[in-house]
Amino acid sequence: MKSNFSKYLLISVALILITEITNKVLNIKGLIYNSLAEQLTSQQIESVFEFQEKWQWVNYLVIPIVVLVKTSIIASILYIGSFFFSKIEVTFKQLLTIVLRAEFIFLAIGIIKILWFYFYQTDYNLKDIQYFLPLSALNIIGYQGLEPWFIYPLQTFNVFEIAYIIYLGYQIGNLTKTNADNGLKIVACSYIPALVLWVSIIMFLTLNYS
Amino acid sequence: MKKYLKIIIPAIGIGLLMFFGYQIVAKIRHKKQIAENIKTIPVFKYQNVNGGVFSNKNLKIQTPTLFIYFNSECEFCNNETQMIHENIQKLQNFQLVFISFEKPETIKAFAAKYQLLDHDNVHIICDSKITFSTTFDVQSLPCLVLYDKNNNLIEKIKGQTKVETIIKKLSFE
Repeated sequence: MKSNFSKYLLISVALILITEITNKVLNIKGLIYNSLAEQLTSQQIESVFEFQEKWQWVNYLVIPIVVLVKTSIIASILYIGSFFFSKIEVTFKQLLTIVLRAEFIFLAIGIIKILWFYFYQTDYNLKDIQYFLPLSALNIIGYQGLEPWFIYPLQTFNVFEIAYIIYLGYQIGNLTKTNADNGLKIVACSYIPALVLWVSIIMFLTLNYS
Repeated sequence: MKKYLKIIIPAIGIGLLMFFGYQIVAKIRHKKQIAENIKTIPVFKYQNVNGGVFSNKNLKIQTPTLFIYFNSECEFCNNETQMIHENIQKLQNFQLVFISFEKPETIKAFAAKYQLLDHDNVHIICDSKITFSTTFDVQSLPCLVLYDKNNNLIEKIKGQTKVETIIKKLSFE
């Protein structure tokens, strides 16, 4: 799997598959129905599902677009970081390769989610699934009683994110022919502040629209 | 060039972080303040559709209150009102305050459409100064604000909600 495109394609297909399996295995449609039943009439719920089915193809389109935008932005941020802190010139393409490889780490979240709710926590509702992020700060604290704007930052602080950062640091260290410490320095000066900024923006939007 | 970029890019990043940080802290404080203010029914003064004043004094004591913030053009508000109209008998033990920032005649026509004008426990109110949304921190329509018989806040519900759910929440001691 040498080309970036094949990696990108594999991640997108894997994410679509995980989403579809989650929907089927965890009966997401039933959970949405139960959740809406307190608010809408059955006729309205039916029309919601009809609309959802009609536009389901958009989901398949959105996932690859999100992956493309996300990986491109992260690679650009790392490129800026390496521009300042690396003595050896690193190309955008090389960084994109690393970012695409690192993205595979996040696939584990979806797989663990399916296994967790299928085998372990078999009694669950829609919110349990929405807010579940294994090995995250939110899973330790629990979402009950928590203000909605704290959900995303606590979800983002998770073991997979740390593994992602360490992997990026290690790979950038190799790329710059230095060591993981130097690679982590580049990540710490570029990706981490960008991630903090992103989390702040999400918090800000949640606060304004909740 | 690299030297200048080394200053400009971190400065932009720090500036943005400080901006969002400040906004987040200020908004959280504001939300906390509002939550404190609406723990019990706050003092209010609105206009009824006939031009008279509607304030806390017009609310019955020892009766759970439901504020319904709506707009006559909003589909979900119409659905909510339709459900209330169909179940109005079940809601006799509660007082319903329909409130909108639209013109009194528009609100009156909306209330007439759902036959809400003839019920003693239903009040149709005009929020001409548009203060309800800021007082209750309402971001979407419809928004239901439920108070128990002791005027204590039960819940603020965003979006359309079935009457059975509303009754269950209002009746909960």
